[in-house]
Amino acid sequence: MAAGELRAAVRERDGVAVIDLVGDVNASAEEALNDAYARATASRLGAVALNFERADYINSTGIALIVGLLAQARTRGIEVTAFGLSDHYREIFEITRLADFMTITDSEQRAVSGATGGTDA
Amino acid sequence: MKPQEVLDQYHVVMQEEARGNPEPLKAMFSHRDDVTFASAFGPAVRGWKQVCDAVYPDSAAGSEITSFERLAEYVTSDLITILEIERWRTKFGDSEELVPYHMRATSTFRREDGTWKLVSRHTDPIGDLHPGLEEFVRRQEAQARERERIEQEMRVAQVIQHNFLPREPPDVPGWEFAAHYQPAREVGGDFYDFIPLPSGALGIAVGDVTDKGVPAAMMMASTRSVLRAAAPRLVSPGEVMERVNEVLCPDMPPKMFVTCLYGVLNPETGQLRFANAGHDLPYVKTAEGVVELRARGMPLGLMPGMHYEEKQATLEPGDSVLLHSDGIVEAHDPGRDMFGFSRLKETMADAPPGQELIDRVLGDLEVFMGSGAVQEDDITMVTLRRLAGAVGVSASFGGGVLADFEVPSAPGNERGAIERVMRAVGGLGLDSARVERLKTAVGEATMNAMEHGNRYRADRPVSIRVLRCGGCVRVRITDRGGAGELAETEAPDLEAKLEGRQQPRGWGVFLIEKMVDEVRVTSEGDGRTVELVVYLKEAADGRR
Repeated sequence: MAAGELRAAVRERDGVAVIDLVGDVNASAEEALNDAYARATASRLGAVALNFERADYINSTGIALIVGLLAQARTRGIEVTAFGLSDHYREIFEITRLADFMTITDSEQRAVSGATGGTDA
Repeated sequence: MKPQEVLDQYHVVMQEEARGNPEPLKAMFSHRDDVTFASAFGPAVRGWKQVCDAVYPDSAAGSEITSFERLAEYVTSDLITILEIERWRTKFGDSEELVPYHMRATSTFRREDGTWKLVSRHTDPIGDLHPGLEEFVRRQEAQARERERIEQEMRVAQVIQHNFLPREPPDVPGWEFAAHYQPAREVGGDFYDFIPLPSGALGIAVGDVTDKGVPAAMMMASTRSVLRAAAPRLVSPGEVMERVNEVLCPDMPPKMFVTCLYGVLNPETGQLRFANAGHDLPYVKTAEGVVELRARGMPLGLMPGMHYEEKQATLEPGDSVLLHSDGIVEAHDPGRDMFGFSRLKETMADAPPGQELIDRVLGDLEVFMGSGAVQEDDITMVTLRRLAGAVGVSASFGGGVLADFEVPSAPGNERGAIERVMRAVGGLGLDSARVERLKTAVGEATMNAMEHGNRYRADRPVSIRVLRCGGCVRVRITDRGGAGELAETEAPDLEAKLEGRQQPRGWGVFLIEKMVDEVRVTSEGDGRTVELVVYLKEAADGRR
């Protein structure tokens, strides 16, 4: 695995599949991201939370991968949330309007409780 | 003249106004800024020009004033204020009927340089208005609202046009530039531009569209765009003019054309190559004196197939050039004499160059035209000066090259490009948000160059130059894939992508444009350059 290449681990928290993204979200991330999404949705959980806390770099191809993932999720009625984005990538999610179609929160707690309709109290 | 004689004359003037001749009334008004005029036929206005516009002949044509009844007066040695009832029999609209109409009129006169001048006239209708006259007043009010709407649109147009002009003169080591633009109306037909060229040279243009106002402004915008498109692709100023002429000709309205002086300055050598499309000749000031820079060529947009003579001059340290529009030399004094080329030439000979020259010319014009004179035409000046002692400056104008390197075209190599650009701009004081945006823009533009320009061919690296220019940093990313559009032309639409109507990809150009303050795409030979411009500080208008 090349330096920066994306690793994507899946875990469950409170009924939400959390995908921890570590590395670069770019063209080389396609396989890892799609595999992770497949694993995350295989367990028939109703929501997926993308953890960008350790995603150092997201480029336009990475944005396209997230768009593809979001499109798949919408066809199956799976809610997608994201957390851990830096201010800069949060801005990019806003200007691309990704933020209009997926909830973006500051923390995993908020992402999970938002996705399950609970509170983060 | 005694106060009563002034008032008698005023009544005669008002009778003329009632008959439909507003000129004597306009002439009686002071030309100073504090004059006011208010009537039932429109909004209150302030300022001589506004007052003249508001004194409508059609509001009173064919009417008469049957009596003036003085209610009060206040007279001093230099001020007269009167309150009167004016009994009018007035026509309105298309009606031939003379309708009685009474007004309370308050008028003030002031002695200015020994002459009594009207400084305010405020009138209000008294009693019930004839129904027809009421309708006429309502129509006048509606027209006033419409005028206000048009004026608001013109103010917006003025802002838009102002944004077409360079925000600030270029910052080129060893050179000093200054510019001034002053339209005669809200918007104008003059323009000027500084166009950075891929070779490191600087394109300099001054143009003038025949006519003034909105039609001229629209043609100005069009000409500027065509010139900006042509300038980076063509090295020769004559060829640039030929190209602009060919593009403008088919769409130029009858009786309109554009004069333009376009030069290409090599900041390193001082060589200025220029072509002239019927524009007023620029002046160059050297140790020998002031002379014109002559080159022949027809104005743009008159007929296709024109050729433009190209000349060149070499500016030595201390030399300066003034480019100008005809609004200066064709300005008139009260006796209708023109300012003329010789006065402008003399001013240039006497005055220090740069902004001081511009200020001197404007000052001389003001004195020549006389106080209160209305500017007849747009006024534009551009000056350039090679600073004394400045020789052998970098050809890459803008404060020097911070980095110049190549990146092999291979997937992922944009990361290395980003790191090197970041090292180059590290000491410039960009805030963290601007740094992050520049990183994304550099990454996307480099990816585009490697993938779409060079098609990931190993023998075609991407060249990257980072330049500091006064208040900004420029990153030039050049591929070797030949001229053409950037990869993506369709604006990305997330909803369409989510619904499968657009490919998920196609965000690169969109992101580049959103991340930096300016993006310029130029082509030269087989190289296409994307220039990313980031201002070191956020602009006052809130632009990033």
